[in-house]
Amino acid sequence: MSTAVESVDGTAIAVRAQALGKRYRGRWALRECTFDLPAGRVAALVGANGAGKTTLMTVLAGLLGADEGSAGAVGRVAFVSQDKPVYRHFTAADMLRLGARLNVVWDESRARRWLARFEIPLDSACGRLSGGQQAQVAFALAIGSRPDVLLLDEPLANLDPLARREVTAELLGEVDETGMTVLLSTHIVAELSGVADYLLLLAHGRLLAGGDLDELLTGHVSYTGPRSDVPPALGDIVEARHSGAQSTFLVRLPEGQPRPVVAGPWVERPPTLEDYVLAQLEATRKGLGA
Amino acid sequence: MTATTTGVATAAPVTERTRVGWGDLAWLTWRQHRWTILGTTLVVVGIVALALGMAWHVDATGRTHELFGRWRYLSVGQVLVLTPALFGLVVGAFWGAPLVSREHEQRTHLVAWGQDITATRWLAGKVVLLGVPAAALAAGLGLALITMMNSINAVTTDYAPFVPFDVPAFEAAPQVQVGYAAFGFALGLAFSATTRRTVLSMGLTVGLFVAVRAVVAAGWRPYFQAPVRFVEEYDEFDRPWSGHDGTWSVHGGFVDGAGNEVPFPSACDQVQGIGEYARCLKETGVRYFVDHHPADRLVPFQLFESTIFTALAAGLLALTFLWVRRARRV
Repeated sequence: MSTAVESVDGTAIAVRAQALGKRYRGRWALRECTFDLPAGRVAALVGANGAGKTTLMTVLAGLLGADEGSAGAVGRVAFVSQDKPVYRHFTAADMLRLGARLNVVWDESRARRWLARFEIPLDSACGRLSGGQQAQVAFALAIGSRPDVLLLDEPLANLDPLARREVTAELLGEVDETGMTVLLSTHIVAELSGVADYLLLLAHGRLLAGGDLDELLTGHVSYTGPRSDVPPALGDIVEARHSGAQSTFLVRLPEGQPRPVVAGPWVERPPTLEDYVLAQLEATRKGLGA
Repeated sequence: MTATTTGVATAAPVTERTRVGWGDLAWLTWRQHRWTILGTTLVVVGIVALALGMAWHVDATGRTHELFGRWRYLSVGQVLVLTPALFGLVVGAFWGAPLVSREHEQRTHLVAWGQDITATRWLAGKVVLLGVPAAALAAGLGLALITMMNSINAVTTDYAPFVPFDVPAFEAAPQVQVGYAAFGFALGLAFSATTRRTVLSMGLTVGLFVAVRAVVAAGWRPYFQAPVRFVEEYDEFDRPWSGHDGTWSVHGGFVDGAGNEVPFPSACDQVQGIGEYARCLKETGVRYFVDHHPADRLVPFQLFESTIFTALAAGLLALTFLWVRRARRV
């Protein structure tokens, strides 16, 4: 799929979804999902299990048709699914040959470099490689096809902690070199710090929040202080937690107004990505937000 | 859609082209299915060699004895002529039935269809690149066995062991074999795409293939065309109606003077001896009849049978493509 998408303010859009909906036997896995993902970003698609992340990625990859609305990506899309599938009887070299044969653009050296980096033997059948090694073969295939948009579904699952860090670093290196757009889904928020600069938050098949990560975080503030029913400053309460004599509020600041100064017993701090995501997800579960 | 080579690290140039070609699909098909293709081809080539070798030896010596010790050509030949009936089944169960389901089971359809190729183009590649060789193997197998049957018939003077309208000879004809192979392949593929389970689709393919073949062969084939009725007095009835003259008798019985089919006259139940029997029938005004197909209907019948199965195959293929393109889940 290669729909030409141009945003209103001139920045190039890599992925666009408009009122996207996808249904499985009457149950909506995805509904009214609208967002624009600017080109060149590393976007995190976050949500609880069953939030619709995989469905969204599969639709964006063109493997599944939408039931409502539309979705499109600019240029060529590569998709690495959650199970990191490889042909068990193919060697890693065969998998790269498959990539060269079935893609109109193929960068053999880039793919081989990825495999060499993670010390994957080229000549043994993929079925004999470990799960983590199979995942590397799947990544090499996706990287070698030089996509404009790379969709990674739970890319770091079944990798060891060291490999996670290395894969993340290599991935960011590829993004720097090629300027591709990456959309990666995860439900482990801790993996995202320092990786993603854009956030798409899904809950129950609906887009809860989306946007530049820095803007989202600076638009919110976390207050901790004595037990109280209201936060010390104006703004929409995203989450309120009370434990013993202490209350914690995550508040969305009113737009276009300076950050309020709080004093006295209240402590103010910028929320972390994890704070923000968990608060949003918690809010949907309680039926407060969204 | 531009990609430029950047950095010194990229030694090999980035290859770019406009589309994925048939050569690429052929590479993939061969790489994935080479053992299935080679195995089937090997067995078919073996049977063809055996059949042609026997045909050649029978032609040269004019006899059907001698080879394989106490076995006679005829008995070996009678085993070989059963293989065309099985070939379509093998193609269905081992070529068609695993084709899409194995990809789903191992989730590799996400690999194949996630590259610069759509699911339907991938499927079209597989159908053509596996279906055409399968049909060619079927035709070759049938041709070799027809050759063998003709050779054995030619030297057997007292009777013809292989009768054209009988199942082995009728179904070995290349035009019929191609139809069976196409039907088997398409049936396996249809189950493969819809069930997404290899073993299940293999089982369903075998079951339905046998059922459809049996229904067409036993229930429909005798009536592809209205049979010709031949009526005679019972005692004059001495023609070899078993088909050795190339005709195919599909039904026989008794008719009264007006030509209506009647049950065997009970008056003649107790009669002993052929002569008495014939006289009894003549006295009650009953004659014997046979419904048969003349020998020149053989090829039209084979073409019609082939058309039935080719049409079924085409329908199943259309269904499969539609199913894959409109997939509701991955």
